[in-house]
Amino acid sequence: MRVFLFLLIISISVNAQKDTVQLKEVQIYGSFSKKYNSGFSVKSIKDSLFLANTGLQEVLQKQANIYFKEYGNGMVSSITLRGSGAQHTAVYFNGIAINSVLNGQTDFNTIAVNNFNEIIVKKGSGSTTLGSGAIGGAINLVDLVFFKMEQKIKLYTSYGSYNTKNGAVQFQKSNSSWFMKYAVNFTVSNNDYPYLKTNQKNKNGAYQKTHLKAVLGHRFKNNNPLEFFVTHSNNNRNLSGSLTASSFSKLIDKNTRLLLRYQVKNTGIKQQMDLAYLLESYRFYLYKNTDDFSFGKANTLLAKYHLSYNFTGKIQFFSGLEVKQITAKGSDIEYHQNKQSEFFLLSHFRIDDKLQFNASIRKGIASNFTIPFIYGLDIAYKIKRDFTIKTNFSTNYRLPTINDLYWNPGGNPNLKPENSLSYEIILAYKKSKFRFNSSFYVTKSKNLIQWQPVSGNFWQPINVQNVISKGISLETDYALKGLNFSLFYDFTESKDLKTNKQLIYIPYHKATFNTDYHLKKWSFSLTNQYNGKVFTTTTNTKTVSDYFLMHFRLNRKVPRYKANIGLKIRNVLNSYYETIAYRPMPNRNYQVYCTIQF
Amino acid sequence: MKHYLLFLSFLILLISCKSDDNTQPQDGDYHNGIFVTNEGPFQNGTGTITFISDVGEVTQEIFKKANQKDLGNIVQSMYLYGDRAFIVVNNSHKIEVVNQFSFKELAVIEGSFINNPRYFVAINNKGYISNWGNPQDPNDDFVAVINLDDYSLITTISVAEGPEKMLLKDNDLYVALQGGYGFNNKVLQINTQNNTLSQVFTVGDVPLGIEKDDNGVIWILCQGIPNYASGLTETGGNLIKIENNQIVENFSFASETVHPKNLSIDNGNIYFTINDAFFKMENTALVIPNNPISGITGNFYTIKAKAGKLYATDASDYVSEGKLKVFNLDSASLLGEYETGIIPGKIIFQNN
Repeated sequence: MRVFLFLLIISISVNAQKDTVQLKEVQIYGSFSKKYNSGFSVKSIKDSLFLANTGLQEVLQKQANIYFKEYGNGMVSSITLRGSGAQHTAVYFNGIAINSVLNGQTDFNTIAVNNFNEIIVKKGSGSTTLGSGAIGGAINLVDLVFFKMEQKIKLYTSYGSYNTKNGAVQFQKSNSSWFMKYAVNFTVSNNDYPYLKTNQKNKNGAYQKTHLKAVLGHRFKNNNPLEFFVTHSNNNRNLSGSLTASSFSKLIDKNTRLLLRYQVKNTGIKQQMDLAYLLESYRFYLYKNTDDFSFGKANTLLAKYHLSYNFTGKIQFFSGLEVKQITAKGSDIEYHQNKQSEFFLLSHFRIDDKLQFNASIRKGIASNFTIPFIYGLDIAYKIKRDFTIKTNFSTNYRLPTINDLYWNPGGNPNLKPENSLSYEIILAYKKSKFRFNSSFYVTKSKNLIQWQPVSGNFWQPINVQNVISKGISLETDYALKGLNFSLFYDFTESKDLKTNKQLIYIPYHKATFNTDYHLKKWSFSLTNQYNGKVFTTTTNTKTVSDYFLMHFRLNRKVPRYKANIGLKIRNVLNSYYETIAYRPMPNRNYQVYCTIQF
Repeated sequence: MKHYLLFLSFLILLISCKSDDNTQPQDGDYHNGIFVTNEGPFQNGTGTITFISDVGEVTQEIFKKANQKDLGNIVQSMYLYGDRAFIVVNNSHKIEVVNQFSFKELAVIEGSFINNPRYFVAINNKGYISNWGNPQDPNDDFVAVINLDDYSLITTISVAEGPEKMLLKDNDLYVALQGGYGFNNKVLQINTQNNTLSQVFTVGDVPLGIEKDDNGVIWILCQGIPNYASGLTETGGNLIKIENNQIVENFSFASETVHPKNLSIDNGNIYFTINDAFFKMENTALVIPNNPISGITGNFYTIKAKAGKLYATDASDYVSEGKLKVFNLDSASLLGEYETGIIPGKIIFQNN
């Protein structure tokens, strides 16, 4: 922390140049590039759309109609894409997979979004180039590194209901051969919102979150960039109780991620070498005022090599080799070390301006299970200038996590990877300010790992569940002068093949309707979200009710200071809602914020 | 459909009750049947109580129907005393007191002396509640003694880790120290007249069942230490017999990997389960039986043997409704199945 501030101050005093250069759109390279995902929907969300947001979840709900379930506001939050589980969406930090190696999930309330430059959302299966767990979809959080004369300092501060305070500082400076970005983000909240319809409140929900980031880049004389990314987050949260159970517990989790990346760019050949070290740990206190806690920690050492080769103008190869070593231990996990290596090859064919497709394969080996061979094919065909039809077919896998393998008691070292098979058709229409995208998909999953009571005394994960998920995903937006509309709708049916019942916590219906209006210095934004009911029992007898939410934002630019001031009202209609049964979410709440850029 | 009609008629009954109190049955709807307490989903829900009448009519969520509110999280156990039922709600740290015939709430016992409560028994108008306190702290466990006139605290008795099931015999209270999050191996004998400890029995590891037979002999089933207990050696189960406040028999199960559970006694026979198998042992037997009763198998969450029948619950997948199964103990045949709530944990017979 102190080092960060020191570097920040030094950098400011050394150079007070305040030119800003308009950024050219930077092409995302590699597994998330549009080219290597011709037959998929890949959406890029630029930072201009989330400058005033602090939570990743909020951005993804609004911009991609994604369903999350939260154990109370600000608590552990998990994602569900395309009728799959929280472990079936892979999250990446600048291309490096960051889902917890312990439980296979990402907690979306532990990621500070506003110090990233871009979020890429790929809906649908793509394990061949992305690896384990990219089944419902994949999300990449991107920090852009560029070499232009530029310096900016951004300050963000907000204050809101439940005594929620947020402060962020970002300093960024670059020239033709150097780049640096430092960011600090701090949030603290009492989070003691009242539970509507009751006389209770969220008694044990206070949290404090700190995120630090540094990104450094150097471009050598031969034009090849060396990049270094480091983040550290520390989330200290009391864990909310439920309507029927009060809680006294606390969770502290820490994540440190280091990534060193070197790219070699020659005509027709691009190479990328990554070396990453990821450290995750948690401490769970059942009673927050005691010294007793359970813990888990894991570190991942990863080396990755990507090669992109332009064979002819029409054929390109993209391949990668990843070697990974995971070390974990905890109060309920004995020391374990796993190694795995994976290789993939994708061939991109561009037949003409109308037709392009990719064919890909992946295979890996691991120290403790067999990684299946998988393959994928995706095609894009431009029927007319405005109208494209895409399709993809793939097989995918998710590897068992450390908890699944080694949790004591119950961990099952004989688990196999989960398999799935996906098929999707996408129709995309785009004409000037109007865009419409529709997708129909089917995913069949086999050998899904489920914890089940085994005869007698404990629970054990077993490769037992088979699921079929089918759905429709619609997305349209329209811009008219200062007015932007976007409308999303997702229908998801995800059934256990044995019981023929909808999986728990998968809504059939989810919709989002956004209206944004810009008038000179003012902008207004209204977000409407509908979340259909979800089942909470595997027999589909009990539900969490559906709900409708409205959020409002008013923003005023103050050009003289390159500043924005604004007001956010969340849950304008003061709706009672739960995303997990018996865990009420906040009532109507307010936030005022201010951003300034130097 | 039947459930809906039942529920509908109940609603009508409720509405009419509101408009005219005289039509309310004086003594309530629940007589001569079986209560099943359902723990409910952990953290994110409520436990419930199912009533199964002697003619097999099932009523779910009887507490909510009578009181229009949720019972609470993790309904651990229930005890009938006089006209009252005492429902121990573990993760809500409370005891709900209701009239056992109408299930109308009479009182809620809460306070620092109800902290992770497990079981309740009553004698001479005093209630005894075993409490874990903070389950990670082996030194804060206790038995609370409550005055059942005004539900005030009489005293708390500090005990070693993990007080669980309790048994009353004459004026003595026997408390099995199962161990809570840890593993214990004691049974305490407490004199209920002065609430003092009179004897400590060292039994086998993890005493999870304590029952008395018709002759006043106390039987204690110990599960043994499981193989996943870190830093401890696995031990097998034991069955202990206490007569005249002395351990007179200690039957060991076949090996350290055998971990029995679910003790119940009926008509001179001891019943227990090992994994999915169900065993019967006469109370005069000299050895543990080797062979289970064929015809009765299942991953039973709890069992109760009574008058030649076995009542056993099946928690299914623990996130949806469970079942109560009834078997004939002589013929080992299934007599009936009744739907319960989520994780049916305890079976309580009502006899009036």
